[in-house]
Amino acid sequence: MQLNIFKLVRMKNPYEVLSVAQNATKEEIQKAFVRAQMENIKTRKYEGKELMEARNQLMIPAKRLVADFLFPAKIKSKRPKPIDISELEIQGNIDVNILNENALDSLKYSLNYV
Amino acid sequence: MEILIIIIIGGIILYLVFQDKTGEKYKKGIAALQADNLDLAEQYFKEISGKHKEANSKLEEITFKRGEISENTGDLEKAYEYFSTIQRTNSQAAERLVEIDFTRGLSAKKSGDFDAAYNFFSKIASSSKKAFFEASKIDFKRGVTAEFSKTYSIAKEYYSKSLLYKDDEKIHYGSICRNLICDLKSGSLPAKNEVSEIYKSPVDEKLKNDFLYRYAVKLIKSDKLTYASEIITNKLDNSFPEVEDLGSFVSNYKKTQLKNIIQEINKSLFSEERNSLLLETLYNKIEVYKYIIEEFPEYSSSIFEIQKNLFGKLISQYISEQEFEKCLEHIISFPNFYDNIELLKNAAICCIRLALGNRISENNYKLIIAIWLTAIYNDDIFINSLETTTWDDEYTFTFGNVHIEPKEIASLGKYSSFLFDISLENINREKPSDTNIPIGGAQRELLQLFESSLNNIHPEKTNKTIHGFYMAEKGAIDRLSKTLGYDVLYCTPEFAKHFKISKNILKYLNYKYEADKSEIILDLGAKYISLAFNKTGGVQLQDSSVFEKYASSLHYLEYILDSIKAKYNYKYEDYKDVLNRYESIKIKFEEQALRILSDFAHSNDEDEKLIELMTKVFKALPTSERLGHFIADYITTYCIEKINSKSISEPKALEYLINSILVSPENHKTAKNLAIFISLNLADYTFNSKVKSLIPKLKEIESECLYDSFQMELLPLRNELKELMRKPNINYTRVSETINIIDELVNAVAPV
Repeated sequence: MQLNIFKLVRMKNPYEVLSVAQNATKEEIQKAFVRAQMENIKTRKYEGKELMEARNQLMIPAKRLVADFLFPAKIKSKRPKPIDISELEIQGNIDVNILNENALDSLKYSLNYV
Repeated sequence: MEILIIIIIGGIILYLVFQDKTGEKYKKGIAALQADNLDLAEQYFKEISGKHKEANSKLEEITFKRGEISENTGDLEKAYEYFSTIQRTNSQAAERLVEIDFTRGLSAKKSGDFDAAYNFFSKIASSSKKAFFEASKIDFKRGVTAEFSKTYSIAKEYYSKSLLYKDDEKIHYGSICRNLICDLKSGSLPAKNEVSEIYKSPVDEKLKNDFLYRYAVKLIKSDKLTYASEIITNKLDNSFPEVEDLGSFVSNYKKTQLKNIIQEINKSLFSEERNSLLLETLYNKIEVYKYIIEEFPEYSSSIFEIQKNLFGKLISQYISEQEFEKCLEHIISFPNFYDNIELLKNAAICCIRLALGNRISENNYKLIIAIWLTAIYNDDIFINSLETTTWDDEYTFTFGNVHIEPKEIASLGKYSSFLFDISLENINREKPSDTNIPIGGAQRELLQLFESSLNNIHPEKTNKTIHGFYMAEKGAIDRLSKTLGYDVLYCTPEFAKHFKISKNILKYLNYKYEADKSEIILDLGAKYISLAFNKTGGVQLQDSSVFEKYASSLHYLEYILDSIKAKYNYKYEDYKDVLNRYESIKIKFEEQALRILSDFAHSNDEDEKLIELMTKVFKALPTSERLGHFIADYITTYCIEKINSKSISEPKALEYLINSILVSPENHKTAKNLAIFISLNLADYTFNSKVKSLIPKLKEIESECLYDSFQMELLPLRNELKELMRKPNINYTRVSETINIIDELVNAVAPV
């Protein structure tokens, strides 16, 4: 049941290597492995043993648990809806520069304050 | 003789005559003074000045009267002159001077000469409250004038002086308020505590409203809208239409801010272009404007939902961009992220990716290791993982446990389903098989994967530090998971201390300790304690819990061991209580002190210094037979070597050997060598004296083996000496004395 640690260190995402979904069954993985081997003859994208390692990683459940931990399935979240702001009414000028800070000025009053 | 008598009598007569004249002049002076003839009185008193003791005070009285007359006739200059001459000795004159200055100040003020008035008032402000008040009023007025000319820093200087007058609330609080108004006018925002002082104090309403209105405007311009609203609604006088308008402005301004945020969200979130920077900016903006958003419940729930969504998207984005440090920082910024299985797992993914990418350094290793181990020891993470995929539906998964063989198959943590609600159909604790997959196996593989990546850390010193830390953290969480039940999150000590969640762990460990009273629990709990220290470096207990006390003892243990390593000649017996409080700490000290001293013994060339250090160390744990035996052995070997090479005096060697038997009374090697050494040297007179002086020390020892050695080595000698006594030409006194010493020695160590 022991995994080869050094293989795992340089391991790529086995789901990506074989182009299979995170939920793929054993049969689907086997098929994907054969398909990937065929394609790889043309593309030379992976080394042969990388494909084999990816297959083994996904075929053995305990290893697949580790792969799922390291490369978790992307959970599709609900796309949020745009927020409607048509009812957000704003009245008057909201430029802060028009604010008169001297509106309640008390300087003249202070002249005769004491 | 007669001449002398005549001179004396003559002198006495002359004295009486002149004395009589001085008294007469004094009386005349008094009469003139009473008749207000000051010039004549002054003449008499001046004539007898120095001859009559009252003359000078009468002259002072005349000057004071003249001052009063001048003052009454309105000649203040003259009066001031008179009073000035006697102010040092006459307190009334000094008071008059203050009054004159005050009067002059008032008249200067009346004529509009504020500078002159201020000079008079400030000169006497320290001795006259009313002058201080007048000076403060002038300061205030000058402040107002400066404000009119927009020189606010000068105005502030004046107000800072006028506010010092606290006896009048109007001027004191008026000055404080105007001072703060000047701050606002010159562009700075006063501190909150200064502002709250204005709410509480009896400040003139007009000044207060002016200040608060300006302050509210300033807050709006600084985007501190919530605080501005609070001022407008609760602190400002709402009867002013200007205040009402400002309130409406803030309300609309908030709406505008909200609208801008929503527009930005709609634009960013639904655009095709997406990167972490964009998401990050948006997420942070919502965080910054949270306080405004919260005021609009009709929009806030949607916005916060989007923010939550953004949080998750950011994690995915960071991971896809391999920004693991940022991602980790982002995750742990979420309050109590560790209670969320998904977040904890994502944090762990960041940690392993950083480890595999050789991105662990001295700066980040502690948190990465702590988070990683905490996540891996959480069984729930693995159950949750099973829930997100369907491939595993045909299998079952086992957590195994200690009851299942082989033991190592058991999961690391303890499965607790309370964290989330899931179907448990495919989870069991049965024996693993081809279709019953052990979770513990995956956990251990992941741990090994992480550990193997730690081997790549360079340089070696850093590697050693990080590896040591990893092992300590792992050891602690492993023990914790085996000690506690399901009610607490298993985390490493660093994790608990970093995220401040030690309290809960310690609570449960305390229950365990109360039941077991085991120091193993104390040792575990101590790892979850953050000790506080005082200025001198001593431990400052915070709650005096059992764990804190144990952690404190551990701290001192480390300190003592470090000091021994550094060969500091401290008085180690001062730490006797700390070391002896706990059995486990005693054992740790004994073992480590032995190891350190043994290393020194093998390499040290300063033997006598080492003996001194060893003896001091032993005093910290005098009950340790192992330590005593080791030290006695070392000293004995040392003495034998030195005696053989004749590089130590016999009395000195004797002292060392007796000291060594004191630390290890049943040490056969030492006892035998001491006995032999004494028997060989008893013929020496100086040695004998030393032996005699050390006998009281030997009486302190209860040592059967020393008694046996003495009997074996010294009694035959005694018999020989007895035989010798029968022979002629012998120094009977010396021989008899030596026999007595032998008897004393044997008796000193004889069993009672």
